[in-house]
Amino acid sequence: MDRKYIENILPDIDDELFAPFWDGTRQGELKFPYCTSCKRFHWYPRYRCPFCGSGTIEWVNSKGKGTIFTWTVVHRPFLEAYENWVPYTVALIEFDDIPGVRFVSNIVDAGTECVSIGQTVSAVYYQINDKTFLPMFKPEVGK
Amino acid sequence: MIKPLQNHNKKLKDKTAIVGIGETGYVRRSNRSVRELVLEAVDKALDDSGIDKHEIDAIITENAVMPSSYPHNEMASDLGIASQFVCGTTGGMAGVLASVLAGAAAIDSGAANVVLSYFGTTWGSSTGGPYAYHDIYPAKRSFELPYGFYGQPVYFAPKAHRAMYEYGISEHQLASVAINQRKNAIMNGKAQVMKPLTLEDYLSSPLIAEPLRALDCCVVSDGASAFIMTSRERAMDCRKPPVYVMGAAYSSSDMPEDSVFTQLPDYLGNIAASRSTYKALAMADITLDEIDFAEVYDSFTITLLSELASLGFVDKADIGAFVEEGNTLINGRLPVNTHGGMLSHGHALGINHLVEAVRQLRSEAGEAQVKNAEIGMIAGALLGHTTIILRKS
Repeated sequence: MDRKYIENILPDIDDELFAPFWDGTRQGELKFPYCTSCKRFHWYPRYRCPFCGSGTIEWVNSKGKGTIFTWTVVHRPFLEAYENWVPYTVALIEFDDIPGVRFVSNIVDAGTECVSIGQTVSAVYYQINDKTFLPMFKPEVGK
Repeated sequence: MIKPLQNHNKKLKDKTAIVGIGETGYVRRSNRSVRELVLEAVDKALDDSGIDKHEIDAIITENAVMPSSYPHNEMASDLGIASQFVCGTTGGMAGVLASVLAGAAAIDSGAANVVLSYFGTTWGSSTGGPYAYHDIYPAKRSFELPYGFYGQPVYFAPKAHRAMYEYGISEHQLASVAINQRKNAIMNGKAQVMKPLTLEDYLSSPLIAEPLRALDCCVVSDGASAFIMTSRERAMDCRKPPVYVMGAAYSSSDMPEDSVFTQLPDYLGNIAASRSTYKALAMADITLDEIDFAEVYDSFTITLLSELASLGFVDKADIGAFVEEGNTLINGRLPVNTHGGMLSHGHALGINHLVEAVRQLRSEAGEAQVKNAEIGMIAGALLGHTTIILRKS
């Protein structure tokens, strides 16, 4: 994938709420916030669980295997940053081991014929700069 | 799942009325500022009501856009009035409509006598349009921007794919939403876009974010609308017949604002819409079958379909067919967006939907008049949802 990223669309990897996620991606790990009080995952990261209001939140690793819940192929770039990307595929991914979370990502290394609801995908990590690794997903062939 | 309700607000039923409406007309490029547009709409609403501007003692608008582009106290100065109550409600169409609820509560409590509300925009002619509105959320900047998940069409396109998958909605059914609302717009004669729309036009319009095409998306507009509310008693001697606020309710969503487009457990449903509609009907003490027409949030064709299901008018399995069969046309079973909605009339966060409902309930809608229109619903979302029920006097 040879896509150009400009600074203003990159994640704030130092944000204290988000740092555990981005730290994980540097180790090739995908982790999500889990509330130990109501025992539910949530997304995005918050100071309090959006379901029960508790602050007892820990980060749990996913195996990074998921399915496409839904998707789109974007043809019109809504920011200058995406002008050399279009058309590109955005999907909402669900994970068996992280119920309740949908992760927004791109589907890569695949033609659009591989992109459909229910398609199984697995995480790959793209290094954007020294510290930023973006998890992307590629379809699992034959599944 | 509808949470049990403590308070149906029955006390507010029919206590207040909308007595003045004003609108600039909506265009793509006006070469005018937001303030000029809003002032024109406010002047027209005052004239329509017959109320002297010095009687306005409260200004209530949605809280996301207007407070920065036309602050409440600037409006008071420009009108030469002294307001004693100001309030910003929540964002999006839910916020524009929640001004009616806040206005009714302010008037009923005695905090205000005459409420002015307005919304105006130059999204049509400004760069960036409405998209930048979501830049305020750090999580969206960090977890969505790097993937190009940005711009309202990109939020709603995956919903359309999922709805096609779960409910069997077809491309032609999505098209029928745009086509039928255009028919309403043409009959009404006040819309930004009034060119007849065919299925061929729809299918040849460019893909924006699959499956949504340009003609699935609402217009972007320059324009403004305003309305004036007062008590039932004061409404008696206004210029036009009062339109009573029969029901008004707001509900927040079950998800934080940054997550509401992606993480709702019921991804296609809108729990806030079901809840606010249930509460508004309870306040009005009526059932859905008593609604004669509805003006409904329609940022995209798919948005209208999921709203109609969440409001309870149609079972979700039947929403595509319901619109395709013509039920939402002006002479249909449930006329919807009788001015053409955001898809054709104009995009002003639905204040134009409210103004159109008032016109219908005063029998001022001309060719687009819904026969025997006595009760109308106006419903709109963004992050929460508001449902308003108005009735003619």
